[in-house]
Amino acid sequence: MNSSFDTAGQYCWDSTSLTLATTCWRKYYYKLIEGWTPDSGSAHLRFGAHYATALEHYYKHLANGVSPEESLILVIHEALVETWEHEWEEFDMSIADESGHRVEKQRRRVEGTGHPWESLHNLKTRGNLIRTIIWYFDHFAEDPTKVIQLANGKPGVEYTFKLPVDGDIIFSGHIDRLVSYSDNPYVMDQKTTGSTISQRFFADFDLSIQMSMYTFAGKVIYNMPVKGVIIDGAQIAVGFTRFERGITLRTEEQLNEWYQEMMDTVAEGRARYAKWQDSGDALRAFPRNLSACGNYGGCEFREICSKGQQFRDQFLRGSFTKGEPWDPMKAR
Amino acid sequence: MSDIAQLFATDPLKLSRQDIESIIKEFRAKRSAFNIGNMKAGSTKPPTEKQKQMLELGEKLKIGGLDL
Repeated sequence: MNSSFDTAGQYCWDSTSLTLATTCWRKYYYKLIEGWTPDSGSAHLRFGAHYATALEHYYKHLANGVSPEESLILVIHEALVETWEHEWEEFDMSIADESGHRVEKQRRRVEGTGHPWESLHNLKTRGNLIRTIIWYFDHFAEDPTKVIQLANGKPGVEYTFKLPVDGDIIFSGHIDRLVSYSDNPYVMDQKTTGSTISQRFFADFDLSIQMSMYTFAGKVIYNMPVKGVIIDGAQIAVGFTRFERGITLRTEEQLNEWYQEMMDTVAEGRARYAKWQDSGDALRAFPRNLSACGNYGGCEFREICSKGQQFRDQFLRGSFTKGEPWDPMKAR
Repeated sequence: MSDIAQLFATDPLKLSRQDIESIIKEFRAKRSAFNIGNMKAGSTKPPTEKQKQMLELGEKLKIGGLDL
């Protein structure tokens, strides 16, 4: 059971689930409820996750007083380890804290085992990941943005939030960095793409649910007038990575409209869930949005949805893996 | 197998600090080579005065996507 759901449907929502719900209810059902992941599509997610982690940890090291070069060495080593498919073993770890002494089972990598991550994508590879991390910090060596020190003295990096909003609903997410740029606070994020980065690339984020969520949450969590999100785009090519920086801004009025729309989406999602529970008919409760099938080069479920209803499960099992559904309560 | 390929094929838990530094050095050299090649490529048409100003501003602020 997805822990973001209660008996009345999903109550904890992040930008991923909100984007799925506003795009297509069938896609939402396949990913959030059933947990289908395309066998060929995980390279993008994995590459993006390792890249985001490396950047985030680099700035955390810096904030803790580690030098830039040492921080780079640490995150490169970490990325190399994380992209190596080791065998794992369990061991007993002795833990002593205020509640006393106890022994917990932990897992660790077994040195000398495994092999490098073999990406199924020609650009989102292990080598290109390491190159992109190194080039990023060299490209932005003279970065005019600075990580904000919070009122509690801690750096504004790595903040996982669960924000109670109206109607016992929770908005969740993860802010990598809160930075100051021209004396204004912004959330910082990074995106990778295989295409050339143009003005259009950044303009697409002006209506992004994820960027609105970051701005909305940033304002509330940090109690600062967060203006929007600075996006560092990385074009990953065969022989190079090219970087561009852009900003997407949100006014108070835009955020209010976004919030109302998201709350309406949440209510619709819960109503659809109840309809499914009552009728047992998932296909009617979570219908396809046929006008979204061609978005961004085509939905991953496009081939499935184009098949007759009686064949869809068979095709899903053929080219998708059913695992743990995306869970906003657990994500990061 | 090249040195860098050898390092990428080695269990990273066995890599030394020097190995990581070698990887970083190798990719920095590739970046320098790319930047030299990249600067030679592109339009040979000189930028207009307005384009020059925008490029200078973009460089100063590290803001991209100006698409001149």
